[in-house]
Amino acid sequence: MSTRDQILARIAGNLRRGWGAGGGHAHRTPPRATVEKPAALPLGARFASELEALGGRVYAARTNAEAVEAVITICAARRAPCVLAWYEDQVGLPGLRHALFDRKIGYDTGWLPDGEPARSERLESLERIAVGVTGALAGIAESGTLAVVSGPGRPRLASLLPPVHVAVLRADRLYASLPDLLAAHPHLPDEGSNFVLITGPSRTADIEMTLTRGVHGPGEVHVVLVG
Amino acid sequence: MSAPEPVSFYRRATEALATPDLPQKIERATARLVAARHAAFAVFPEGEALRDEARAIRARVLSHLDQHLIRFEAELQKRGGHLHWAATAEDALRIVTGIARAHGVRTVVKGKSMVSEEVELNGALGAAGVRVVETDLGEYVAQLAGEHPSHIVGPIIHKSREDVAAVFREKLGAAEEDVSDAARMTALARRTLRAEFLRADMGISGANFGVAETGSICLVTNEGNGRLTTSVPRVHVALLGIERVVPSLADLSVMLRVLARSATGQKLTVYSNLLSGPRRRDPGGSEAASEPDGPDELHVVLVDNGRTELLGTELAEILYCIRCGACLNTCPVFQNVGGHAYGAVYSGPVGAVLTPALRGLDAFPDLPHASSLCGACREICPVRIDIPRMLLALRARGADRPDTPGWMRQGMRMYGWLAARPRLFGAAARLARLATRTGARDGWRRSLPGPLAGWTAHRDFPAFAPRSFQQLWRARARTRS
Repeated sequence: MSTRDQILARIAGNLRRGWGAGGGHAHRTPPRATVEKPAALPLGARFASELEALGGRVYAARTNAEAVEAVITICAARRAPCVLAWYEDQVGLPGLRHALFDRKIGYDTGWLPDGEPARSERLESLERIAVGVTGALAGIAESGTLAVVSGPGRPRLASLLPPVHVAVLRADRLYASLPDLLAAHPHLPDEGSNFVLITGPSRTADIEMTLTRGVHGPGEVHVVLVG
Repeated sequence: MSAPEPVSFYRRATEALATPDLPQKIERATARLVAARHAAFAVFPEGEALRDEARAIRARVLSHLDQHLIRFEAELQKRGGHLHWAATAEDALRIVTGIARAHGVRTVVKGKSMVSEEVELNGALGAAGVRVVETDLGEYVAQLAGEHPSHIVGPIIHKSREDVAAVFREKLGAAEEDVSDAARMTALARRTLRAEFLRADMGISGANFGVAETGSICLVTNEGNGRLTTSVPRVHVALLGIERVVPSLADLSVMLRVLARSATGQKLTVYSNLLSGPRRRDPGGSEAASEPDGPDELHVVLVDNGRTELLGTELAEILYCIRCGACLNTCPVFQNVGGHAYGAVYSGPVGAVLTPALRGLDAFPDLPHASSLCGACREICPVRIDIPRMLLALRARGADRPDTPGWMRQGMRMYGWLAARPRLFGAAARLARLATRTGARDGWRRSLPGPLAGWTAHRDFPAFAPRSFQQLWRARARTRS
């Protein structure tokens, strides 16, 4: 009998011992997921106030052109010679790559090659990029959260490696709460190997409960809210 | 670094209380965490219903654990992940060192994993010639200092800023300007650890949950080291306690929302990271149709190590635990002595149950007594685990052990004899009332005489009420008739 089968047999046997798994609570069916009551604020305003309370920044853009301009302004302020970015169709901003090129800002889409030392050398060069640009599948208003899914043309590292993360989010992709978002996207794990909810900049309070941003992930999170 | 030897809680707690500033440091940190937790639930009207729901999800999972595990395995494999079953700590160590050896791994970056502490993974990897670097800031400091984490969520709440600076000076040769405040020390750790991430051959992490319907694992971290560990190296190995599955993503969302609020008072942890298999590639080899990064291999090690033996027993409820640390923060015992006093990986109220449950009461006979049974842990627990009930169950088991002192057996036997004789019991109670009320101030005796003095060495004894229950009952019966 394999370890797997031994463990499964032990579980089945022990569950029959009578106590149930939970001392009498075992078979209660949970109520449906609670959804927070719609807040008084519109979703965009709620999202912005939550994220800014965590130290993130939100920029409202009415058009794609304004959104492109917002991304460029952030990059230029940091004198970034290059961005680590998703394909522009995945960011959702046609013309972004060209507009950055016009300002002499390079556009690296973060492909990692196989085999060493090529892979490590590539990581070393990506590490030097100061700004990451991504799209976002959705946003959660009640917590100021970005939902980001990896996939073809959507490197995980763009929202992780650089100290500055710029995300482009369509205002019609905002949901009130996490259960609402999941209900609208029931097949998330089919869309990419990594689905991550990002709620504000990277932070730690391990040293004497003192809040410090940017310990491992980006210390700055900028969201360009389009529409 | 091996796990601390089991030493009596009493001795460790006494040492902790005598350590300068330690109780103050622990109290300061835990008070802030408790305040943040209460503030988060105060503005979250559906929080109580969500806790009920979270509890029901855990109960439902455990009552059909085998079915959920089989589903989890199938879905994980469908998405290209490898599942390993570890019945014991030794199995887990053999599996992980085996994967490391197969890939010629020299350096591992590690995200926070309580299970890896439990099975003592770092020691085993070190013995296999693999260098292990902890990457959670607190765990990294603890590793540099040669210590164990003292809290599930805040590994170094027992250290002051100056303590951390001293570790960085000694172990990293840090310059003064790099350790002058928490922000600079954090920046130093980022630089040092970033270099480790980029050259590591393998990442090892824990996992907060496994999702059965999708074969995904979920890791929550505030720092982002959990994301780097699982996305940068070529190989990712995750250790998952076998009880930590949830059926669906909807269930996961319930758990994430109560976990973050309970652990740190956040609405959501900064990164809730869901991983469904390794980097996906187009079978035709097209770059544009393949994921540009992520690990080439994902291994999930399901660790049993005594957990499934608890199913169907009076201790099964401890398996509901989602490791938020709230019971540690709210426990008056933990607030004073800290995590190291418990002499094991899991501390606080949950540890006082889980450690003897998993590793045996023989090695940890006094841990179930490391509690005043005040019930604060049950009140704060996001899944409402009745920890005091299980502490009492473990104490009862302990009383049946052969090494229970003779005076305690005799005493209990005498009490049993007396309690079965109402008249004698009433007389004894009157005597005790007289004895405890004489010399009591404000209803408390500062000390008791003779063999009872030990009880009042560290606490006061409440004087008996002026009228006994028997007397009240008789009076009530008279007025009714």
